[in-house]
Amino acid sequence: MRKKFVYYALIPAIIFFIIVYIFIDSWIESGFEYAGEKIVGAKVEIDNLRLSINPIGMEFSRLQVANPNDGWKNMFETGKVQFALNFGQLLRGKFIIETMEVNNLILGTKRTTDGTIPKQKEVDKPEEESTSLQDLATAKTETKEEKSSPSFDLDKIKQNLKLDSLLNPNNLATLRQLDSLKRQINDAGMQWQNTLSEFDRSKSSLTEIETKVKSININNIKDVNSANDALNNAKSAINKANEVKNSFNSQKAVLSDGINKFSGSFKSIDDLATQDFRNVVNMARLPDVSMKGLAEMLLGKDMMQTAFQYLGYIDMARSKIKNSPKEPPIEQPKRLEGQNIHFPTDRSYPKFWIKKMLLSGGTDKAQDPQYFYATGKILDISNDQRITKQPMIMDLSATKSGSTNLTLNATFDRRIDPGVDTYKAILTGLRVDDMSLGQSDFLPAKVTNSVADASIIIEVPGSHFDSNVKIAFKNMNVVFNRQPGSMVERIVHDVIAPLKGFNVNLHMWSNKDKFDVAFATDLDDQLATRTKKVLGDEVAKIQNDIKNKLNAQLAAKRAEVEKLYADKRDMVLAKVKEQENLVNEKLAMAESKKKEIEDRIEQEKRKQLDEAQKKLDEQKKKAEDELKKKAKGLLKRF
Amino acid sequence: MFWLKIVANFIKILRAGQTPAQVAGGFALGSILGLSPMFTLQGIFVWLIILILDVNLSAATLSLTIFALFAYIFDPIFHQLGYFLLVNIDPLKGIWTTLYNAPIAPLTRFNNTIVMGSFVSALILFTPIYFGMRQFVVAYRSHIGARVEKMKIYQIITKSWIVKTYQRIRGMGV
Repeated sequence: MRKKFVYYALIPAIIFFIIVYIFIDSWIESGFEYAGEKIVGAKVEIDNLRLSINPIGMEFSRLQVANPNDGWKNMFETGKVQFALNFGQLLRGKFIIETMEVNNLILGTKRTTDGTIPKQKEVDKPEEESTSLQDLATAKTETKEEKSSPSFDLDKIKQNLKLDSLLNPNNLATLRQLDSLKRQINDAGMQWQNTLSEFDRSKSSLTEIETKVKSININNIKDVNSANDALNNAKSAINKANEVKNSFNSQKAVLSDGINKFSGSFKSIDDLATQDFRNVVNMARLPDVSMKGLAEMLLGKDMMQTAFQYLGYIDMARSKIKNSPKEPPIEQPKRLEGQNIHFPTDRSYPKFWIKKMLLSGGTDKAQDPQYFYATGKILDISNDQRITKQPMIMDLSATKSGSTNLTLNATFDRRIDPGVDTYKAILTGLRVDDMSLGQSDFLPAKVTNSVADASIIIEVPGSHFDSNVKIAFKNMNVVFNRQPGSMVERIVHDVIAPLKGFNVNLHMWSNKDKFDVAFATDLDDQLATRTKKVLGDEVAKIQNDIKNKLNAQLAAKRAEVEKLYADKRDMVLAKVKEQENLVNEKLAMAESKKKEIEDRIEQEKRKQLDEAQKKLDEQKKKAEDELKKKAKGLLKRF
Repeated sequence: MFWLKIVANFIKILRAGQTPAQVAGGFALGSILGLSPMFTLQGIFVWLIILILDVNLSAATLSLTIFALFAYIFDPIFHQLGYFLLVNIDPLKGIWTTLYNAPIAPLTRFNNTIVMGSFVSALILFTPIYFGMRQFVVAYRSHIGARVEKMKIYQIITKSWIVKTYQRIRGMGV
């Protein structure tokens, strides 16, 4: 044993423990603040953190987490927070908290100092395309802002309407299609002509057949041999005629297909003409009397900006609540780091697990009417949900000034890959004192003294996102910044001014890096009805004018192409008919000759048979006579 | 200069002073610290043993440095040995599982391949290092020391201006 052990070990150890005892609270406090700031991206402040030994745990008097989007506001702040650690698991290097008590949870409080953290420049890191919902949504809004309000000044529209330019053949797909069709018909006409010239070539064969058939003279058939020769000639003529007919049939089929193909093409011209009409109307910038999208322009900007702010929190949850780490494969680890081998456990615990966090909104003290005071619980906050087998569940209800209520249920499931986040929120009695309507150049106005109820459902499976927000505005009062100028402004003014409420449905969704927003409100219908009443007839008249001129232009060209087609078709069909008749005629002639020959052969056969019979009868009679004569002689002798 | 002082002290102790067992004990315990990762429960325990037992601290510190270099070189072998002990020997799996579920034991990080491989290697090497070092101290004191001091390289080094300057600076203010 070292004689001066007390100097070597004991005194340094005691000094070490005294220093640790004095400073450990502030070290842990700083450590937590640093870790929190890394996660949130804004200042995290903990006041008066104290460790307790029995039970081993911790408490602090206040926690403020600054809003990363607005440094002068807190995302939330708390009063006293206390919790105890499971000592048995702490000895195993795990931080397990059965229950954490969070008092006086207040959302969105104002800060006395700026809570933003200057972002460090990341050097040597290639810029990656952001996939955060907030960035995608903002990019989407920026592209949407380029849309201008529709103009309903009909006189101006009529003046600016240059139909000749709009009906320029280069703009009309139908004309291009008709030109192309004309070229195709001409090309096909040449092919058809080639086929028809084959008909002419086959005519010589038909003449040959005719000559051959005519050369067979029935009267020259005197015996069996000449009959057989004639029959063979007739059969050969029939075969030849059939060959010509088969060849003709296949040529006829090709020609018919070609002709029918073009009649189908003419049908598609009608669809193209309809599309051309739509395009021309669009180019004419005629107002859409359905007023689709005007309500979005009126209301969407403010509402969507608010919605997009909250997307930041969804981004944060998606990125900060990590998927559980998987078992590392057996591989070469980093130098001096080694590989951790895991063994079966009686009951597994993750490295960090708050089983239950109880939140109280501090109802026991006077509440500031401008903030939300939240109560509820958060279950199973852990670094590895695959071990706890529990998703993180948030169940909060908050009130503001006694009239506005918020309930929020959220689930963050990282047990599966990719993780799924779901949010359900219901907000009632939210006062809307100052919501801007319209745009600076289009009926600028404000909604005042309104009350809104909202229900929000959001699902975030992995990199996808789908949210449905329904908002109902009630007791609304609209204050217009100036008198309406244009006709559209007057229409919108007349529709909105007497309104006391309306409903909005905001659907936002994204698929990986594509973000989209659909904005629907019952204001659209009201605006459309009103607009149709005022403008519908005039706009319809302009549209009819355009349609008539377009149809006239298209009809001329169409008639030209149709005539070309009809001429070629009729010519081909006539030739086909003529050839068909000719082929059938020659075939019939050959068959008729064959029949004649066969009849002649039959007749000749009968004639020869009769002659043979006659000869046989004569010989028979002659024999009988001789026999009789001999019999008489014999009888005489007797 | 701190390390130069430790080397100087070590050479001084090799000549005379503490017993060969004390020097060898410090050196062997230092080898455990040098071979194993520092911040483990067993590392703290070995430090306590060094501080409690009357072993030579300079020898321990020098040994820690030397064997830390060895540890860096032999790191892949320690990983393979640790993996073999933790995964491939079935009879040991029961022990590891019990330790894994027991309190405190996980704080030793025994389930890490490098920690396990290096610690077992250090324990195996402890005895040969101890006896080897003790033999070396005895031999140094009896004849190696005198021979080393006669070597030209030793003369050159001790008479060099660097060493003299160091000795002068060390002597200032004493």
